This record gives sequence, C-alpha cells and structure tokens, in this order.
Amino acid sequence: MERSWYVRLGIVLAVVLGAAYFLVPTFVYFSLPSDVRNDKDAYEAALPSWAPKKRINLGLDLQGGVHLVLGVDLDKAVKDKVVRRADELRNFASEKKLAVQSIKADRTREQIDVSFANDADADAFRAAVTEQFGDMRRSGSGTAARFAFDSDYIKRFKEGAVDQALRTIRNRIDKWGVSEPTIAKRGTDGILVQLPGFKDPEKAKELLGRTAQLEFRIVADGEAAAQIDELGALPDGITRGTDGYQPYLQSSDLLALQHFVENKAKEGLSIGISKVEERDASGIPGQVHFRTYVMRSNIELTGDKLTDARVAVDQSGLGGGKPYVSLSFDPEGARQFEQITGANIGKRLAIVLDGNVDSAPVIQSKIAGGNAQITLGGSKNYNQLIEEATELSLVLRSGALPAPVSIFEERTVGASLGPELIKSGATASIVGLLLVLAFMGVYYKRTGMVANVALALNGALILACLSMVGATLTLPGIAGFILTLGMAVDANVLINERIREELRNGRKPKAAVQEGYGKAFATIFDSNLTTLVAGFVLLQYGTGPIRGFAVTLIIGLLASMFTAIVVTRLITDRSIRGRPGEAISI
Amino acid sequence: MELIKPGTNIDFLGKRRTLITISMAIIGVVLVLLPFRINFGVDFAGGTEIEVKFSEAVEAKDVRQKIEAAGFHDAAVQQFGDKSENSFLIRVSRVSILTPEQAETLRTTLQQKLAEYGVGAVDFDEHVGDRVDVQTEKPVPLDVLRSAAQTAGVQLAHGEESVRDLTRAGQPSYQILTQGLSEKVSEALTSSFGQDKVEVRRVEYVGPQVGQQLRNRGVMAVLLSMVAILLYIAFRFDLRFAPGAVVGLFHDVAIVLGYWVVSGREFNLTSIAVILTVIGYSVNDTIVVFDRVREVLARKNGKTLLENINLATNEALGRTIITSLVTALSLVGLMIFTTGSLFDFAAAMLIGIIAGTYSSVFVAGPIAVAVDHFLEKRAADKKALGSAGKTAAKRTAHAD
Repeated sequence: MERSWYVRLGIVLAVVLGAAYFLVPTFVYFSLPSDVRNDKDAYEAALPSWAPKKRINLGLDLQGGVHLVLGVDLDKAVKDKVVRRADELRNFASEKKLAVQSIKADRTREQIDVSFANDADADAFRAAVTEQFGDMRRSGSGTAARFAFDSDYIKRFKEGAVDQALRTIRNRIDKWGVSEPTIAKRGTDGILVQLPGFKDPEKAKELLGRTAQLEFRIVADGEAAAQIDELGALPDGITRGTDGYQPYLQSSDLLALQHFVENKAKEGLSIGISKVEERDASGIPGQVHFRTYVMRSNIELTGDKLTDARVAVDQSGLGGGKPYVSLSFDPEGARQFEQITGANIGKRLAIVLDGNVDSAPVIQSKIAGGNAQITLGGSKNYNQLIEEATELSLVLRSGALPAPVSIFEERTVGASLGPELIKSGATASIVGLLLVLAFMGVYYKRTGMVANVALALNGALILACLSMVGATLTLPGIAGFILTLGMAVDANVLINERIREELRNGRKPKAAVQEGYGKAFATIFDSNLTTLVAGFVLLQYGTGPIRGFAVTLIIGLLASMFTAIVVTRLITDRSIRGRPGEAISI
Repeated sequence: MELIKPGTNIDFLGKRRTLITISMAIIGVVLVLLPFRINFGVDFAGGTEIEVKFSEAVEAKDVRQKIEAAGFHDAAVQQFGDKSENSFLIRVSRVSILTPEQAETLRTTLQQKLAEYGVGAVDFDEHVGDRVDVQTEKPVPLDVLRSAAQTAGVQLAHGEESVRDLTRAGQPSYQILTQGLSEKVSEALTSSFGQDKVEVRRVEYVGPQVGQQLRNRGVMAVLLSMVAILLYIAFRFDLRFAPGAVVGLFHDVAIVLGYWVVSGREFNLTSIAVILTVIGYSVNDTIVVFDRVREVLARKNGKTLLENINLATNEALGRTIITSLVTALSLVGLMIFTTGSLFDFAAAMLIGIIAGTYSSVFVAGPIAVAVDHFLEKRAADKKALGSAGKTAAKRTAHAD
C-alpha cells in the first residue's frame, strides 16, 4: 500500500476517534433517565472526568418549557419620561424661583407645554432650562414654549430602556434557579427568554412583566457578626467570608443559601443576598457565586422616589475623568434621602433590586437637594469603571423608570409532548436511514456498502459536531438530519455513476476509480455549495427551531464531503489493490 | 443493477414548448390562488394555537362549541394526528382578549366609577392585548380600581398582581392585567370537560408585530438565498446558463408553494425552511446537469448546443434519478411516523425534490438553449450590419 493511503487512514481514524470522544457527553446525557438528566450535578457526576463538557441540548420543542419574547413598550416609556421631566421642570422652576404660569406634559405629542405671564419670564426660563437640561430642544415663541427631548437622547433612552428590562429579567430568572435559561436581546425592542423545563407560563409571564422593586436599606455592619454566628453550623457548600465591613456567608448554590438563611433574621434585621461575578484582571466575567448581606429590615427609601440615574464623568481635579453615577430624587425623595444620609454617615447604603443586593456604597456625607453621586472605588481602569457605573445606573433606573414589557410571543411545550416527538422523530430517522442503506446496498452492491459505511459515519459526525459546539436539537433539526443523510448520498451516487461510466468506456477498475473520483469532485463541490448558501441564509434569518434545522443541514453537508469522498475512496482503494484486472462490484 | 441503461437517449428537449407551457400554466394557477388559499399559521398571521389532548374520545364539534361559548367565535378546531389520539389543534386568530368594544366599555366604566380620582388616559393597545394602562390625577386604592374593572366585565389575571401600581414621581399610574388568551381557552376546556381529562400540550402565541416581522424575515431569507446562489452560478458557469437556473428556481418554489395552496395546510416557519432547502436542492440538481453540459461542450463534438444539452442530460440522468430517489426515500419515515409540521415538511420537500428534478431536466436546459439562440441571433445581426455573410455558417451550426 502506498504511503499516502496510510496517511489518509490515519486522518480518518483520528476523525472517528475524535467523533467518538465528543459524543461521550451526549451519550451520557441521553442514557440518564429523563427526569435526572437536567440536574446539573447528577449529569456531571455521571460524566467521566476526561470527557468534554459540551453536549447536544434538546430544544424547548423537544424537552418542554417556556419560550417567551417580551417586548419593551418603548413608546410608553418615552411618554412616562416626558411626564417625569415635566415634574422635574416644575421643581426646577420653583427651586430657581422662575415665574411660570403652567407646565403641562402632553403624552400623545411627547412634549411639554409651558406658558408664561410675560416675555421676560419666558426668556429667563428658557435660558435656565437650556443650561440645565441639555437633552431637550425647544420651540414656540413669546409666552408659550414647547420642550421635547432631542432625537439623539430618545435613541439612547430607548436603548437604555431595553438594557434595563433585560437586566431586570435576568435578575429575576437568576433567582428562580432554572437550569440553563437563555436571555437575550432580540431586534430593537424584544427580549428572548427561554426556560427549559419550566412548566407554568402564566407564572413566568406574571413575574417577568412585573415592575422592578428598588429599595434602599442601611447595611447593619455592626450587628452582622452576631447574626451570622447565630445561624448555626454551616451546611456543605456554604462558607464564611468577610469583606472588611462585615462577615458573610457565600455559596455557588443560590437556592441552598436562600434556604439556609430564610426566616432566620433577628428582630429588626434582614438578610439579603447578592450575586457576585468574579472578574479576572482584564474584566472578563468568570465564576458566579452568591453572598449574604445583613441589613436593617427597615426600607429607608423606595425606587419610585428616584427620578433618574445616569453615568457622568468627573472632569475636575488632577486625576479627572473618573466615572460616577448621578442620582436625582423627587422633592419627597430628596427630603427622605437627606434625612437618611444625615443620620447614617459612615454606614453603607444597600441598593436592593428585586431582593438582590446590587451594591452597598458608603455614605460619605449628608446629601441635600435631591441630587446624589455614587463614586466607584477600587483600582479599576477607566473602561471597567464605566461599565460598572453603567450597570449600576441600569439597576437604579429599573427601579425608577420601569419600562413596561408585554408578551410578543409565547411558545409553551408541555413535558409529555417532547418525548413523543423525539420517539416519532427517531423512528422516522431510522426508517429513512434503513431505506437509503438498503437501496444503496442493492443498487451498487459492494461499492454501495462502502457508501453505507460512509453514511453511517456521516451521521455520527453530524451528531459529534453538534455535540462539540453544544448545539440545540430541535424538531426541524431532526428533519434536517434525516434530509441531510438522504442528500449526503448524492456525492456517492455521482462518484459511482462516474465509475460505472468509466468502466463502460473500457477503463481498468483502478483507473476508473481514479477518474470517477476526480471528475465527480468539482460537481460535488458546486452542488453542495449552493445548498450551503441556502443553509447560511436560513441561519442568519431564521429563528429558534429553524436555526436548528440550518445548523444540522450545514454540518451535515460539510461532513458528507469528507465521508463521501475521503472515507469511501480509502476503502475502495484498499479493495482494488493488487487486483488490477479483477472486476469491481458496483 | 441499473435503472437507467447506458446509451439511453431520450429527446428531453423535443417537447420543450409543450412542457414549458404546462409548467407555466401550473405556476400561474398556483400564483393566482396563492393569496386566497394560503393558510398562514400563527407564526405569520399572529394569534394563538393550542394543542390539547383528551383522555377520552371527544368530537371536534363539541370542542368548538365550548370554545365558542367562551367567546371565541373565530376559533378553528382541527383533529390532530390519528383519531384515536384524541388530540386537537385549536386556533384563535384574535390576539387580544378584549374586543375594542369591551375596551371602550371599560374606559367609560372607569371614568364613571372613579370620577372622584380624576381618570385621565385609559390606554388599551390591541397589539399588546392583555394590559390596560390607567392614569389618574389622584391616587386610587388598588381594591377600588380592581372592583371597578370587574364591574366592567373584564376578567382579570389570576395571581396577586392583577392590578399594579406604577405610580412614579407623584404621577398616579396603574396597570390592569387581563387574563391571557391561551389561559382563557384552556380554562374554558378544563372547566367544561374536567380538569383531569384535558391536557394542554403546546401553546403558541404570536403577537401581530412579531408575525409581521417573521413574515418579512422569511421573504428576505428566500430572496437573499436566491440572489446569492445566482451570483455563484453566474460566477462559476457561463452567463448563458444563469437564466435557466433562475427560471428553474422560480418554477420549483412556485410548485412547492402549490403544496400549501392545494392542501390548505398551515404555512409556518418550517415552510420557509422547506422552501430554502428546495432552492438549494433545485440548484444543486441543475448544477449537476450544467456541469455535464460544460463537459460535453468541451468535447467539441460538432453538435449543436441543443443536441449537446440533450446528450448531457441523458448522461447525467442516472445520477439525477438515483439521487432524487434516495433523498425521497429518506423522507418516507417522516411521512409515515410523524404528524403536524414534520409531516408537512416531508410532503412539501418531496414535491420540491420532484419539481427540482423535473426542472433541471425540462426547464433549465431548454432555457439555456433559448438564451443561446437569442445571443447568437443578436451577435449575428450585429455582425450582419458590418460584414454580411461571414457569420451565416456559424448561425446554421447552432440552429436546431
């Protein structure tokens, strides 16, 4: 045998072994009983330590669960913001002693109408407002003025509103402990939420549609040690740590931690939990764990008193360019905030959104006037600080200016349907495959059997690739798998028809094989490429399950180029070796 | 074994005018009927689709009656799968639980009942469907608002938060959440057939904006893939071949659409996947034939293009038939063992495979010949203006 044959054999064997290796997790997953396999710990325990982690996931349509696309009602958010701003202008006018007859918010036109007693008042007000609120443009003259947000601001505001809703939703789903949820932005105003195995869509819709609750509480650093000690012996997986202000408990298992501290707070205290994302030096998020905060049970201030929160950059001083978060409160909120900060200088103020302690900055001084700043500490670089400030402002705004969400799309699949679909899909695949195998065996005899080996390998390769990238198998994906197996045979049909033709033209088997593979290659390449183009377009434009179909189709065609050309050639070359005169079974 | 004997010589192009006329007629009929017959599923039309399974035999008629009693007069109820499965597909095209009249009633009721609080805007967005936003001048106790909404006959959502307080910065603002559409349908069924007898297996709700969006994306996907494939053909093959492939492509897509036109089955996202796959498959088939034509032309056998295309088609016939047959075989399992969207996938795909095979033999080739004639004629006319007579010999060589 020539050396090149052994090289090719080596490559094929390597691919086969690689495929087997990547199929291990998928095999382990499906051999577990269906009620256990989605338990992360049970699955990881069953998986050999040397095996890769990624596996084929079952799509929501096959394993059951809730798929929701939530739409953020941006128009309404803008209208609310206009009403808000009208309030702010009113406060601003009374604070600066500017004479105004009336300030009215016009929700439908998204503008604020202001009227004045005389031109002098009007000019003074306009000048002051232009200076203070740079994000508004004004029109109208004389004693009537109209203010509206400029379009750039509206654009940024809308983007912010979607991010804010995304943050709130992620926050809540984290709390439910759903395994492997998907939460992503879709389009300009949509948020995709997939909850595998979640059974109650009504509950999901209600909880996700709810307005975020933002609270400010004082952190009880002094009482924390006694409170933590009183909780008693720590169960497995929960450890104790300290942040320099107070001792805390931490765990990577949110539910266990929640369960452990539940109803154990002493009189006047409350134990909050915070999600902590560890970041490496370059700011890339890594492991997530959860820690406790011992806080006072009294809610000092709620988010509805907050009017806005935004990221600003401190340009003063030598070290200038330090980002911070600026907050503004309505008059009542301003009074409360002044009182709280005055009474608790040096203590920490916890910012709690939907029960999750987001951060706990230290109160430096008494803050009056309704405008506060949260500066971010630590030895972080500018970009990390900006990112952190943006996150914090999102949290604060979620509580202050909730962007209403509605349901755009809901797809719920009950748990009993999935297994049935998998079963009928699997039966259909096997029947289809057997028919193809039988036909090839009968029609092309030995060469057909060789093609069958390649086809079986092709199927395994598709599954291995899907497993390797952790792809999701959907119902259309199963159809794509079957169809791809049918289409993959095309390459072998092309090759075999060519070989037959060359044999008829009087060539020797070896030369016929050579010619057959050579001439068929260009055709196979061209024809597969067009289907691949269609597949990629589908991947780009498709949604959900349809993308599963596209992925299977693309992987299947690529794999078929390898199996139908390289693998069959390898076997055919071997079988005609040293018997140049002998007829080839085709 | 050989299905197509070597040396087969069928005159595929001889009847080309008749066959193309027939094809065009079929396409014409499909395209004319398309707007009337196409049955958009919830993916594209918006609405709610619910698959329910009963534990005992139930008539579709009874199911429809119960749904209608719950106030959905446009509901479509369909037996799903085998009769013994007792499964039904219920489709309600309405997306909002409140009709515009009901929303109006709610508005006037709230304005009357809550007059002392100064009701401002009562916003009901039909596209959102299950939520009413209320603004007042003075704060309203939630209980008062809730009972006012109930007197207007609005069914509120279950759970603690059917009325929410969204007051911010002193602007009283509330949200009334109505019962969801899918929830109402399933509740109507469970209450009339018994909780343990009905199982809601699948719910799909698609809002109207999303339906529109998905429809646009689907059309974009089909057009984009066609353009991409044609660019590839124009680049890879002779320009003369591209129009044949294009017409073949439209032919196949139109015929596949015919599946939904004739059967009246639901046209959904999976249908788009079928169409795109058919596009890929059809061109794949055409390319194999064209590749052969290119090869035959390279032999320079002195035959006309028409004869050569005929020859190439015959030579590639074995592969064309076998590949289509094998692909079709792989779909047999799906057609036997599945119902619903997978069955439609297989059936439409099968039609696409047949159309694709037919078009690569009977449509793409003849059009290539026609284009060739046209180009030759134009070239000849041009030359005839300059030096008459010189091109006459060349022209006859290409005439059929």
